[in-house]
Amino acid sequence: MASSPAFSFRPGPYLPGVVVILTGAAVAAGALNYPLGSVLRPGPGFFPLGLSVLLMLMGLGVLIEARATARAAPTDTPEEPFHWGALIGTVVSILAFGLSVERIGFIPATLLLFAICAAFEGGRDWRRLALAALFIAGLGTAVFLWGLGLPLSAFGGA
Amino acid sequence: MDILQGFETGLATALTWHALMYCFIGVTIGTFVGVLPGIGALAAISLALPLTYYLDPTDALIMLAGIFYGAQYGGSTASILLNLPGTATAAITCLDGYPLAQQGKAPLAIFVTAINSFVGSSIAIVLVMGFAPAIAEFALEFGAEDYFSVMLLGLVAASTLTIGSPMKALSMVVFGLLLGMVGTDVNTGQFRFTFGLFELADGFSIVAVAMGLFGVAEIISNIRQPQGVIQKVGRIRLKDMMPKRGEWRQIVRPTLRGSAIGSFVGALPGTGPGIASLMAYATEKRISKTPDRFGKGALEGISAPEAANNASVQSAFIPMLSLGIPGDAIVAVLMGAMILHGITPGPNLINSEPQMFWGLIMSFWVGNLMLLVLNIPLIGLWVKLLSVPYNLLYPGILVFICVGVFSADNNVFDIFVVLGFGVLGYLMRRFGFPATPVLLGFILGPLLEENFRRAMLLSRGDASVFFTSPISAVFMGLSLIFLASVFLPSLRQRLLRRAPVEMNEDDD
Repeated sequence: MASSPAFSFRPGPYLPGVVVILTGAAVAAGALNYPLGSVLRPGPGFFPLGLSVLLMLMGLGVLIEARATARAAPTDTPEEPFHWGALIGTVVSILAFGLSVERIGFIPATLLLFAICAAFEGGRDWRRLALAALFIAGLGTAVFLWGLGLPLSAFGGA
Repeated sequence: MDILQGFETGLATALTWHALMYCFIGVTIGTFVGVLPGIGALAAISLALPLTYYLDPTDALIMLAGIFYGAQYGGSTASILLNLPGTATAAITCLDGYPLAQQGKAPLAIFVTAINSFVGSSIAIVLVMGFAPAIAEFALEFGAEDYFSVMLLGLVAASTLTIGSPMKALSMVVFGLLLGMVGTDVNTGQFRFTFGLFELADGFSIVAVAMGLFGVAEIISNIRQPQGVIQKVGRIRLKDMMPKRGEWRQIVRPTLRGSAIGSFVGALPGTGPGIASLMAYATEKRISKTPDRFGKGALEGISAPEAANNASVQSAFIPMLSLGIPGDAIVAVLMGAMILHGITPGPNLINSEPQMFWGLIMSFWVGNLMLLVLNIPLIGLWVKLLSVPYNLLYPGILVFICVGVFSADNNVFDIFVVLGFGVLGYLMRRFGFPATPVLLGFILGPLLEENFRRAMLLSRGDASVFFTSPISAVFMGLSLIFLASVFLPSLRQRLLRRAPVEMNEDDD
């Protein structure tokens, strides 16, 4: 089973460490844009630059650790599946809510979020889902729009 | 101000009708989210945080803290009935709680955990009252370099005492510190890492970071988890709940031991209630004459960890209220809440805001009493709540998360920030990077930098000041010991005892 098919997402054991190092490098590049100041009066770039170097070192540590683990247990342990559906469904539903709530209003945006979640979930129980969506929409409207007076409208643009 | 005087001030604050009301709301929400697996206290506190902008800061804190300890009470209910922890900290309660429910003793188990929780909390509250003012008084003499070092110690301890890889935890602390740099530099007004976005001028919103890393990430990883089967409870009669004589005797000592372990562990920076309950369970099992009863419904197996996690939640307030150092992610958000209300937690807090400090502590008593009363008659309601399927529940939570972050600043931008951190949080979880250190670093980052700069300025650029000032030197030395433990695994083993690997250290 260790020879994974081409399409399944199986990052090597070193990917996390590499990502940490690259993040550190990117931050360092950004930090160099700000004045470093002197040791006596550290400027706005001083601390971020120091931290980014530290982050790169940590990334190296993560890499070394991954290498040690890979050596100790070379057999691939069964991994928890990567929840693509859950991830994408959640991302799309939040994105849709964020983009639409100021244009179509809180209640339609809430219903939209529920519908997208349900579509990715493949749930069949539409009636209960609709009830839950209406309940949350009503509760949210009462608490956030009426109670707290958020600048959103229940229906339509703000 | 001595303790007795504080007691009086505190009671006067905690017993006003509005404080009582917000305390009640807090502990009720806390129990509610504690019972439900899949939303933790952290998400609930972050959600409630924007709602508290309009409140008096003391009331706000009383309510938010109530959610925190309330969730510890609720967490065990799901563990016992569903074999699924309602909060990560109650995971250990499953081991003996669920077997008890299978034997038809669910009411007894729930009653016992409520009592344990109350005792554990009470003992720890007494310790908070004793220790926090003393530590704060000592800390009043701290210079900038001492602050820097004590914060550093907190961060290092938080990341090296975790159960997973310490390297990953340390890198997440640094990452969190960097996240804290985003926004306007207070000293020079320079915009840092804002990518030209006006919305980032004040940095990331703590609500958005916390809700993304914990709330949204938690939901993504829970969606496909199989749901547990609820044990039938039937009608709950008081007779079934009351422990018999022998059972009382069985739980007294474990409860006290658990409270002691929890109070101690909770006060250390970076060790949340998860580790506390784990250690309490391991201790009970080790000293028991009949260790093979554990895992099959031993009352000691729920008493000690439940007392410990509640005690640790209360004692976690010691470093935060006395030094301004949060020990875990939830306390970090509470500290963020104080900062948002214009109050800087630290050694001056007790003197400058005695009414808040003592009021908060007294409200812990009030809240714990409410919880004791709330939990026992409402078991039936919690059981019903547990039968709501997750796929109906989580879109609702997502809506509340979105509108909650929106309400913090009336800005849609934060919804996208929450989304970004949610995805990041899920990926981190998936690859074994803990989220708690990120949040601790994020909160402490600006304070750490400020004290670093001030110390450098005062020492005329001499970095050795961190090792020559005696207080700072001690903290630095401790930090080095923790760091050394990363590289000396045998020492690390001794610090952590034998912790099961599958425990998730993000106690929310």
